[in-house]
Amino acid sequence: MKKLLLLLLSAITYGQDMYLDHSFINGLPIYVGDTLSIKFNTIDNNNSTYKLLQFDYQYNNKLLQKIDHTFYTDGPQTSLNHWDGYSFNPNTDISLSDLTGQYNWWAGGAYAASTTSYNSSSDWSVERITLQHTSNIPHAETILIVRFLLKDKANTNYSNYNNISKLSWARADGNVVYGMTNVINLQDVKGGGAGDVVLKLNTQAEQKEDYMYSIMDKVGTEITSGNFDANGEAIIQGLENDIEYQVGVWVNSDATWLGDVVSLTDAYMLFLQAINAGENPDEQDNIVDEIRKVVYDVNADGVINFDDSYALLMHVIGEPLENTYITADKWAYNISDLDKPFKPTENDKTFNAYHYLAGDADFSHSHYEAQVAVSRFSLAKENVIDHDLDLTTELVNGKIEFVVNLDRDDLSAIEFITDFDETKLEFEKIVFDSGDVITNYSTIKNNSVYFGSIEPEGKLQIKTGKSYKIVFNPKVEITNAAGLIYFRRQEAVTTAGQKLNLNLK
Amino acid sequence: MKKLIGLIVILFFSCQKDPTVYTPIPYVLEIPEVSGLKLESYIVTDKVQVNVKLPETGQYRIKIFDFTNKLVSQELVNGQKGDNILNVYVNALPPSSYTVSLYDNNTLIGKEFFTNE
Repeated sequence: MKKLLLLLLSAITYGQDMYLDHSFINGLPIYVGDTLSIKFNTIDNNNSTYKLLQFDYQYNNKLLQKIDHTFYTDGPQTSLNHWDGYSFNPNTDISLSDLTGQYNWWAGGAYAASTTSYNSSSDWSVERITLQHTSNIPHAETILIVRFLLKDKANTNYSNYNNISKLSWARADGNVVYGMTNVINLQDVKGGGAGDVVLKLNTQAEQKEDYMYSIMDKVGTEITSGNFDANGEAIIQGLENDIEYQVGVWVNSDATWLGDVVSLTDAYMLFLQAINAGENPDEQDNIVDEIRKVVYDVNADGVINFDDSYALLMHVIGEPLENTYITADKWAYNISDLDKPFKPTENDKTFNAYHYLAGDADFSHSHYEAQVAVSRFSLAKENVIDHDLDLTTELVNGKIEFVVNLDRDDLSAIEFITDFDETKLEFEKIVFDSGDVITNYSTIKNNSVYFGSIEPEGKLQIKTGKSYKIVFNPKVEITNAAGLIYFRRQEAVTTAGQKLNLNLK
Repeated sequence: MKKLIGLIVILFFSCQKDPTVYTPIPYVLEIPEVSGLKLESYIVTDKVQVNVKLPETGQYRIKIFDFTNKLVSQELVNGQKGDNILNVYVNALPPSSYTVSLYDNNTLIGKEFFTNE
């Protein structure tokens, strides 16, 4: 009978419906941590009037933290009740936007007969608003604004900010009330914990665990830092979505291989570049070229020319020039770049870092891109070829002779660094037989001999045979030479620019 | 009494050897095979004695490899058939673990590991 009366009442008042609006008034985008303001007001649809308005809504308290509420009515008596840990269980046979229908269902029986109309739910808070007045309450005026702090969903079970607040039911005298914005969805929330952000290191250097990263905010304050793993990946936490950070990548100065980065191949490449490009740097305006200018311009004068190649050569022979920026033992000049702005978002948390070392002209320990190889800088490392080389040490007539037996006739640059036992040997001389017009060099530094040859024009080749012989005088009585000479580095490059790793046999 | 008899036996056999062919090889460097290589010690400072026992008189190579099997030092030696007591010097080698090998052309005759401290 009660249901019949309610149905009759609904039928009678059907033509006098109104809307209850429930919407946020913030501008977009909204950031985690922002104050979200939800406004309530009625909208007339068919000359409806009311002196009493009562409605329930509920909000997700995992995503919203209530700050306060304010009634904006002038005259009506107002009330707001609040319950945490409950959620309205609507009648799914009735449209959810039919707020009066849901009210009638709830008030007409579900409220009294069932405990399931409001289920326990720790994620939800229910608020019940009542306005009553002796005269008609005007439509289209703000009734109430409830303010919330928008919380980070990172630590919740929610993957988005949809359905964060919803109207449950309403009644307004004899009117049928429909929800205008029944459910609030926040589609464009920025910020918040980014969770695991992956930074991938791109370099040809093998010891990726020697690399470190630093994440900084816009003004350069460090947020976090750490090491890459052996695979060149870093999992970074503690960052926020939609915030752009600065990223620095560098090699730990204790890395034992830094002294191997710049070799004669790099100098030879720069000589060829200087010949090809003259005084003008390459003008291609892609990012690789920009990087290359920095890597090659080791004296930082803005151009890539013979001064740079000469500086690299002096570095290789152990007589480095001042005011140059060349990676060396215990000293790395780091250059890094990213594939895109480091700005984690909900759907994008993986970034690539490209790392380069100044002076590493053959990219042996830097990121390498194929497009470099197809440009004029065709000497960049693509495939390093191994070649066997015979180096011998022998006790001859009381002296130690170190001999390089060169058997390859297409080399335009070759470099050796050998260490010797200075407690038992002293350097006497080096004999070059590398060809008449080849530029040879040798430098003795502590217990190391830097020697080799380069043909900077890139046209002639180093003579084969016993191209180099170093003679040492024993300082003490020795029986033989095993272990007295240590082959630290040997490298060569062909006239065509192919880098060779010289494997001793 | 047993020790005394043993000593007399050793002295007897020692006296029977031709002193011109006797080679005083330290016990730790003795190689029972016809050829091979043996180190006096496996933990080395400054230098270590090595017995290079050659099958024939000729030119051989002593090669030193680092732990990645990269050749880091090499010597051509002209040795006599039998035991040749030489040295491996380690001051020029960075502290690490190495393999010293004896080669006849490309044939490995013997090898030993040592640590340079």
